[in-house]
Amino acid sequence: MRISTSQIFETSLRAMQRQQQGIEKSQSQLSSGQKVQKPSDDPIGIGRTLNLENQMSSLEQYERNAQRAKSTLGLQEQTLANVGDSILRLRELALQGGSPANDTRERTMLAGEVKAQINILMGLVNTRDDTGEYVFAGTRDDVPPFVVNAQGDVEYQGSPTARQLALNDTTTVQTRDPGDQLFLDGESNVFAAANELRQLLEGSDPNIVPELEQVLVRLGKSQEVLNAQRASIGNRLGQIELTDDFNADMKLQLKQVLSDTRDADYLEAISLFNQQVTALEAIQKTFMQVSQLSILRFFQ
Amino acid sequence: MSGLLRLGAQALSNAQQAINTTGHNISNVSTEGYSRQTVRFETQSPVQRGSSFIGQGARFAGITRNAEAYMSGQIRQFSSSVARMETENGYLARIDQLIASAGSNIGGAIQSFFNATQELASNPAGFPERQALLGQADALLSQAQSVDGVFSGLRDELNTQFRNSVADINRLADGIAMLNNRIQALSGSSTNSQPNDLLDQRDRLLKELAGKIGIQVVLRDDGAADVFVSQGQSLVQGSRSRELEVTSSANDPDLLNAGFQDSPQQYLTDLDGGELQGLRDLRERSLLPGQRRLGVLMMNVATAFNAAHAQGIDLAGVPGAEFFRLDSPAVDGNADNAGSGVLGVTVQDPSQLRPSRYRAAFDGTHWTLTRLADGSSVSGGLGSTISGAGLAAGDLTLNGIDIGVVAGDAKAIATRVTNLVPGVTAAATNTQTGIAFTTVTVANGPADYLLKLDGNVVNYSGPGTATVEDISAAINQMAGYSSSVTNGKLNITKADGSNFTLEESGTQANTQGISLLTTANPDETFFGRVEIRSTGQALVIGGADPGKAGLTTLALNDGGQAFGIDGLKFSLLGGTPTIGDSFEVDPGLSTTQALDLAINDANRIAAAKLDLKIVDLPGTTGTLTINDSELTGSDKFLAESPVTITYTSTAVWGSPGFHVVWGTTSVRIPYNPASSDRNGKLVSIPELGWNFVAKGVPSESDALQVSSAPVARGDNRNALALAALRQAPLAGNGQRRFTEEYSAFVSSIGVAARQASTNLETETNLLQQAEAYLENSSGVNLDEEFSNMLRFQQFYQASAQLIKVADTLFQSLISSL
Repeated sequence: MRISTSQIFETSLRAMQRQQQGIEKSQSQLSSGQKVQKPSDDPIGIGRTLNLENQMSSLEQYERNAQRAKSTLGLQEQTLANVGDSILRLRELALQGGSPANDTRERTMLAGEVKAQINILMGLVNTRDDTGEYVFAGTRDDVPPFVVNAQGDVEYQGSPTARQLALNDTTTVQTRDPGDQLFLDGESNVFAAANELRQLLEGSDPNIVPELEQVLVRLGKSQEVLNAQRASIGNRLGQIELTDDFNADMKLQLKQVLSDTRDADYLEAISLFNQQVTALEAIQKTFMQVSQLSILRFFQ
Repeated sequence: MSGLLRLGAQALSNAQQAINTTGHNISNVSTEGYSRQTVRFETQSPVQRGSSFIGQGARFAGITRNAEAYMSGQIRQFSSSVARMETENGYLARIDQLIASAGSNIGGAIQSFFNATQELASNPAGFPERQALLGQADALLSQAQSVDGVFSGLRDELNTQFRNSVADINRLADGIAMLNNRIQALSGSSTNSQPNDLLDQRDRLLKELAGKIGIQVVLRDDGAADVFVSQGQSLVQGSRSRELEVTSSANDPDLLNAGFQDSPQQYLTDLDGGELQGLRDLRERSLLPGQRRLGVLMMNVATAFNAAHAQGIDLAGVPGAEFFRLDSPAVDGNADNAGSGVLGVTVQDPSQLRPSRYRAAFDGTHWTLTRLADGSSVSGGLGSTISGAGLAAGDLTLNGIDIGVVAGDAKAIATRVTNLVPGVTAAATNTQTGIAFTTVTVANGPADYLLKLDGNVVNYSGPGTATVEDISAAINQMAGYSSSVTNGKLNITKADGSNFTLEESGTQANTQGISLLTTANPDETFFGRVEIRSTGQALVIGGADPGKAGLTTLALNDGGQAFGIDGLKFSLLGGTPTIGDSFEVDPGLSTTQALDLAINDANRIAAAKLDLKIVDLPGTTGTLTINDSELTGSDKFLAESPVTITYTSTAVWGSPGFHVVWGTTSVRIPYNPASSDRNGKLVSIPELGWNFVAKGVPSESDALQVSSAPVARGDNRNALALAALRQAPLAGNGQRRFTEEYSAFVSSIGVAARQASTNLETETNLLQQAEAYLENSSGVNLDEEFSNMLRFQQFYQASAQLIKVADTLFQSLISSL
């Protein structure tokens, strides 16, 4: 077959250009470390990559949520433990108050300590977290949830609604509990019991043992509510831990899949690059020789 | 001997011609489209001498152009395909690159935006969290708008290229016609010679033309090439070419068409390859669908977020305001519309919206709405119900109050509002004239239609049919008022010169639409407050009333008269359409740029939900209860808290019911405790959008007060609801999450770009093969030319030798004489 001179040059030129395009692509893969440079490189892969990246971002957000939930609940748990100590102390005081050996001075002293414990309790139930919000106020967490009213009773002015935080797409956890059910609920009202204890100790009735026993029963009930709440918080912390672990596993998996779909395989990329360079050199060499093939050379 | 000399001279001239042609070939070795030429010689007729024939040498027979006509045709076809793919590929590669850059990752921006709602849920009162949410929303909008802008820019660029391309076609067609003219002239003069170089030149132009638009070429006997485009329309005929021009299409000014100047309105429908086809395909298959898809996605995000946001309350306890501001899509009236109709389109439910352009066409009685992407359509009676009687915002003003239809059909109401206007202005002199009353059916007496003047029932005769005259007569019976009727409209005058209240209610009134209330405050302008109370359209009201300062939107039903497709509602805003009129709307294209944040104050983000407080007012003795969890309604917010609900056995036209009062508004709702059982009875207050369950038996004048509980700053319930939108399938026609829809969009761009590049490669290979084939047969090979040159040189030398021999022979002869 006849071949035209310009065709000889054209063919070699095209072959070189094709190789150079390949080399350019390999080079950008190697320098960026990413297999997919633009959507057309892997249309399905890039859609998946974007979804995975967003999922990853969600998981990171849920991790932050879990962290916050943990710290809020941890603070609640810590506070409740302190409240528990306070109630224990109140029970001791009630027991001591019942001793027939007590004289007025000792009972006044005991009453004084009960009062101090009430103050401590007031401080505890009005605990604030690092953002300055009250942890036992439900969703109305910008004002002290527990206040003493004109009658001297402790009143709840927080919200009856608890606050939830999302741990993943489907699970939420309660992080801010309304405190009225914990400290002011009927029989288990710790402040009412403590106040009664104080009044009994301050009173002049020499035999207050039956009343003190009643107070002890009520303090016991407060303790029960408290324990139940601590158990509930424990459960929630456990749930957070579990979800968090699960999220962490998911993240690890996502990272793996993401890396598989997005990241360049260096070994493969380098070997491809070398192949392309070799091919280009071969074409260049043959071109050099072919381009010198002219009959004119022999007439010079 | 003279024969020999002649033979030599002829051979010499032949050799010269051959060398010239070789030189021509060599010098054109790099000329594009050049076909190698070869000299043809033929033997001269011999001379008979006796029984023998004596050769007379060779004569120059012409120059052959080594071109293969059928290959040229094929190459033109491949050129059309390649140019088309090249055009598409060029644009798509740019979009591909754009989408790949991190700055345009809208899916990521959506993700960050929803992460910010999670942060808000963690600390709902936190100013930094609130500010961050606004910041992310802003970033999302600007990112979407910049990508949308690039798409729009590419469409502009594409249209410019379309115009340029048509100009090129005209230039090329002109050139071909001129060459035809010259070729015809030259071919005609000598029988078997052709102007080879002109043919090459014409082939080149034809190939270039094929790159712009698909062409069919027919070679004529006289040497001219006729060119046809589209469906056999003639572009070049002999030495004449027809001019193409670019026009905008009547239904879409952005869509360009090419057509012949001498037969306007007839567009080239079948571009059949070339740059033009590439541009058209790119626009229809990639640019528009892509941009629409993004636009619809952004509308989906904005409306879903707005809807959820409206369900909450902000830090001040105010119902969640509009978060994203969305414009109604722009409507393109067809340039050929003969009627005066003005169509309005609102997006009511973007989750149903498809990435398509939509058309509304009027056939004289019905409208047909078509989703142009796939041609599916619905028809309805839009035109028959509201043609010609629409009302636009700003049409009416009264005492500084602007009344206008916000959306939907409001013919019935609008007509009445219109008729009220003269009356209302005249009313400043305590005479109310021109109140329009149509005939009202009052089968059940005042329960159907109740008119009160200063709180007193107008006792028109009923049941039956009451006319405006009946009502006027009844008013004349009331002490201190006089009334008359002018042109079917009611005039009322109060004798003592003070203001009066006119109130229209009842079930009949509700369907008709209007209730007028004057204000009790004499300092205010008479009729300073107009309330349009109906279950109809959305009307804008505002003005002097302190409770309704500024503009207020009331949602009223459309009575099923506006209708729509894919979540779009079409309504006639005004004018009269005529048969054949049409309108088009492209919601995905026209809304992204107008998207904006409606909230600037971070405290207005509604992270909390409203809690209701329902208490018995003092003096209540009955057992009526309303549970807050059983009070529902899309608009249960208490902008004018509190709302009191008072039971009276004669509250509603002498029957038991509730007197419901909030702010300066009061309505009466029938409620019969006798028909209520222990499960309670459902009661509706349409004006508030409330539904609640009333239980128990109230005593006379028992009252409940519904108010909003104090705002809990730590309430994050609505923030959680906002955050949960992220994982809901609210995009892609309810199939995908927002972020997934963006990923799918990116994939679709990738597929298109990849396909274009693969197609381009395939077509280019085909073209190159064909070109190589042609080039190999018609291109110049220098080695060949060099060897020819040597041959022709020797030919020349030999011919010269012939002359020399002839000369020598002649000299010998002369000298021997």
